[in-house]
Formats: sequence, structure tokens, C-alpha cells
Amino acid sequence: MKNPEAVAQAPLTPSASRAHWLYLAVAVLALGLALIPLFRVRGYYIDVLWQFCFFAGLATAWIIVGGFGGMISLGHAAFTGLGAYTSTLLLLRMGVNPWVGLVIGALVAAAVAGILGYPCFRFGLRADFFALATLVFGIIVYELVNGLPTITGGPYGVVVPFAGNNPARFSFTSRSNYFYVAWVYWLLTVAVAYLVQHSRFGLRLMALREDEHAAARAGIDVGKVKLAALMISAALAGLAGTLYAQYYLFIEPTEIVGLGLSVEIVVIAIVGGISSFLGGTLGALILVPLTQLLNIYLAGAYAGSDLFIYGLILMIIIRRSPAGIVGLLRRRFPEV
Amino acid sequence: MVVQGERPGVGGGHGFMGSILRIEHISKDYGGLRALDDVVIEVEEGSITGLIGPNGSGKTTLFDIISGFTRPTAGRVIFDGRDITGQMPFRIARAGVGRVFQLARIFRGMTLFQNLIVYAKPGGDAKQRVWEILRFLKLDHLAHQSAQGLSYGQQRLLELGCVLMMEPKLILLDEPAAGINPALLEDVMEHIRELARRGKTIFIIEHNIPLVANLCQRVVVLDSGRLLAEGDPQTVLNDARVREAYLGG
Repeated sequence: MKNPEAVAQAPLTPSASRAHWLYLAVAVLALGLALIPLFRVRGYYIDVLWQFCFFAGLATAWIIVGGFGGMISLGHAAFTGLGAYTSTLLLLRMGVNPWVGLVIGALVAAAVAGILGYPCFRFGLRADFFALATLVFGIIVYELVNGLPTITGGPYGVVVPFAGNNPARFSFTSRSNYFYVAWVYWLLTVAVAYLVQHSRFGLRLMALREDEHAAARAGIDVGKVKLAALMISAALAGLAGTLYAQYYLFIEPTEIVGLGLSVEIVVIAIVGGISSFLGGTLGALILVPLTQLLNIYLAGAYAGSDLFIYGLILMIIIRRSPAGIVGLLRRRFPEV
Repeated sequence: MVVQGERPGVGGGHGFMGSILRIEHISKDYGGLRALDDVVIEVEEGSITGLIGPNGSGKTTLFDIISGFTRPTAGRVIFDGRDITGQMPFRIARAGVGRVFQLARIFRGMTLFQNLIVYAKPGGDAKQRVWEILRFLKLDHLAHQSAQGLSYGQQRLLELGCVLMMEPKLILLDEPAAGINPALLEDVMEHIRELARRGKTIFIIEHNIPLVANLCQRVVVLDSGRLLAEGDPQTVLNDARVREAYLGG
């Protein structure tokens, strides 16, 4: 019964010294990114930084439900879209301050997630059918936004009026300031995911991912825990919608509600590693610049070749480390 | 002290304390098939009660109904004076029913420590209790290992430990001896006796007849979904009908 090798390997407490290096690396990355705009770099680079924060934040939000809870959502862009359209329409029709709209948009996304999730989890929909349900949900939201032009502007989208340099109304003349808002958003999602991963709630979520029957036997209200995870994730995804609308000053269904964005979120999360609060960050750190590079050097020269190479690189990463970049990091840092 | 919550003056498991679990006329149909037919069983508080019967006689179905994973077609389950028939499994678990499955259902991607902490009741010093249970099961040296690396017998011990974390009043054990080597089996039996000494009620499905005879104060026999016999182990295991149905004459 006793395994001497295992005894030798088992530390009484996980080593804390290495965890410090990990957190230090995250802090250096965050501060390093925040310093870049101070060096008067070209606007294009600020845009890439903004995109990093946007996608890293969305993928991190996705991981809370898709990674920790094992419930793959293929319709997460719908939550982002709900956030974007809620705050934008409130601004256009009722003059609601976009900062307020940001919060209301997140709440609307969470509420809709509740309406979607309740029947799914109450009746114990299996994870694979939940993925299909979210896919259909994403399509329905897209079709609704697309098909109600009197309310949403339909396929032509909505132009968000620019309010000049007015920080109180989420409007800046400097691009960098939008980046700093996105930077805060990214770190917020990472902090929330960290807290979930290291809490009793997160442990319950991971337990039901492993075995729902055993989780129920442990007294865990499986449906309630899943619903909470989905609503938290949707709220965070909803925040990104307003960030997008205020930054680009234009939203249209294909970009912000469509399946394309949903898939992009999932791909970034998987490449980074869906079992860690850092997965979204690592995925975006690789894929956002990669998309840009391929776009610059290949898309113009040979149409479609950028996507071909993109797919190839994805395959290599997944082949080398099925658990994503996080899987590689875990060998040295079990705390990731 | 591993098992907390025992009441003073209760021990030994032989006293008359009334029944903690009453199966009242439970039937279960699957399509045209009757898996359980008007089964009536009482399990006395603090006792070790054995549930035996040939494969397919409905033993595991009955455990599924008690723990809420299956709903009965007819009848009621009364636990600790409350009707728990058809409740959600997590509610029945919180009411104090701990189920150990036939196949070790543990969280393989987690460490032993995490496995146990998931089962902790809200409040109290959960971590200290985890260590107590790990020491009780002699698994403490593996606390921070992934549960994936455990032997089958260790996995089953871990699962027992998980159920102990919940501090249940009633423990449903489904074939605890299956697939466990004889040396470990002696440990498992001693653990079960120890739990009964501390006032837990044990309801146990087991095919190992010597083990049942050795461990249980009462034995209930199911055959084709019907209650065939019940009583003390000696009487039941020598019953001609039981020998014919179960032991093959």
C-alpha cells in the first residue's frame, strides 16, 4: 500500500517560493504593458495592446465557466454583444452615461445568462448538449440583433457619437486611455478567475466538472453552482462589449455578436489553457500578436494564407501541449 | 477522533434506538420491467445492516432511490423522521445520507486533500478534519498527490474518507470489499466497525458472505426485486430459500 517514491515526492504544503516568481512575472507583464504607451509608440501598437486586453479578458471570463466548470460555451460573443448594445442604445436613446451603461450591460448579460442557464442546469443538460444550446443561443441573439433594425440598426450597425475628451463619459482623445481602461478590465477578469480558482466555490465547480454524481453526493447544488459560474462569466464578457463600443465608436452584429468572436474566445482560452486563471492571458499573449503578424505579412500577399498558417500553428501548439501553454508552465509552477 | 457528532451514551450499535431509515413499499418500474416490488425495510439506528441478493435483484437500484439518484414508481423513503422520497441527491446528502458508490467515484484530477475538502460541511475547521481522516485511512503521506495515482483499493478508501467528511448519520456502502486485496480488506472492515461503534448507521451491499456474517447484525435479502428474507445473519444465511436463490443451493 505504501509507495516510498510517492512519499518522497509529496510535499506537506505546495512550495510557496515558486508561486512568488509566477505572481512576479504576471505583475511585470502587467506593468510592462502599462508603460508602453508612455514611449510615444505608434497608434497601431496601442491598438494591438487594447486588443490583447480585450481578448485576454474575454478568454479569462470564458474559462470561469468553460474551463473550471467544464461547460463549453460556444455563444459567449452574445454576452459581449448584449453588453455593447445595451450601453450603446441606452446612450443613444436616453443619454445614459456609458460608465453606467457598462455596468447595466454586464447586468443584462448576466440576467440573460441566467435565463439561458436555468433550464439547462435545472434539467441536468449534459455538457455536450450545453455546448449546442449555447451555440444556438448565440445564433438567436445574432439573428435578433440583425433582424430588428428599428431597434438595433440591424446589419448596418450603430455609430456611437464621440463626446470629445470627457473621461466622465468614457470618452478620450488619446487612444492610450482606452487601453488603460481595457488594461483594468483584463486584470479584473484575471483577479476574479484567480479568486474563483482558489475558493471553495471554484473547488465545487471543478468537482462537478470531474463527476456530477459525486459532486451531488457531496451535497453540492450542482445546478446552482453552474448557474453562478455562467452568470459571473457572462457579466465579465458583457463588460467587454461596452469597452469595444466606446473604443471603436461603431458596433455591428457580425463583429461583436457573431459566431466568429465566440470561436475566437474559445480558441484563445484553449491555446492558453482552460484550467487556469492565467489561460486567457497566455493565449492572448500568443494569438493576438500572431494574428496581427500573419495579417500584415500574409493576408495581403496571398488571400487566406494567414488563416492557413494560423490553423497550422494552433495544431502544433495543441499537439505539443493539450493542456495549453498552462500545461507547459505547470511542470515548473504547479500553482498556475 | 475521526468521527465527530456521536451522541453521549450511544455506542456499540446494538441498542434499540428505533429505525433511522424506513423503506415503505418501494416499487420501481423500468418500462415493463419491475426492478423493485413493494419492498419494505427498516434499518435500525447505529446498526450495521447487510443487503444481499443475486446480481440484478435490485440492490443498487434501492441505494439509488435512497440517495435520490433514481425516483421510485411507488412508495416512500423516510430518513431520520423525514420523507425524502424523490428529493434531489444534494439535499439528501445534506440531510445526512452518505453514499459510497460501487465504482470509486473520486475527483481524479484533484489531490487527495482537495477531494476531501470538497465534502467539508460549511463552517468548522475543515482542514484539521481532512488531516484526521487522512490519518485514519493511513493516506496522509499522499495528501498532496493527485488522486489519479492511487491504487484501486486506495481510491475506495479515499471515497470512504470523502463520505466521512460529510459526517453523515447513515452510510450506504456498495460492495466495499470488491476489488480490494485481503490485507486492505481487514482495514476496511475495521473502519466500518469503528464507524458503527461511534453511532453511525451502516447499510451495506456485499457479496462476500463471510464478511457479511462477520460484520452485520441484520441481513436483508432481495431476490428479483422482492424482499426474500430478513433477520440475523445466521438465520438468514441458513434459510433454505436464501440458499436456493442466492448461494445456489
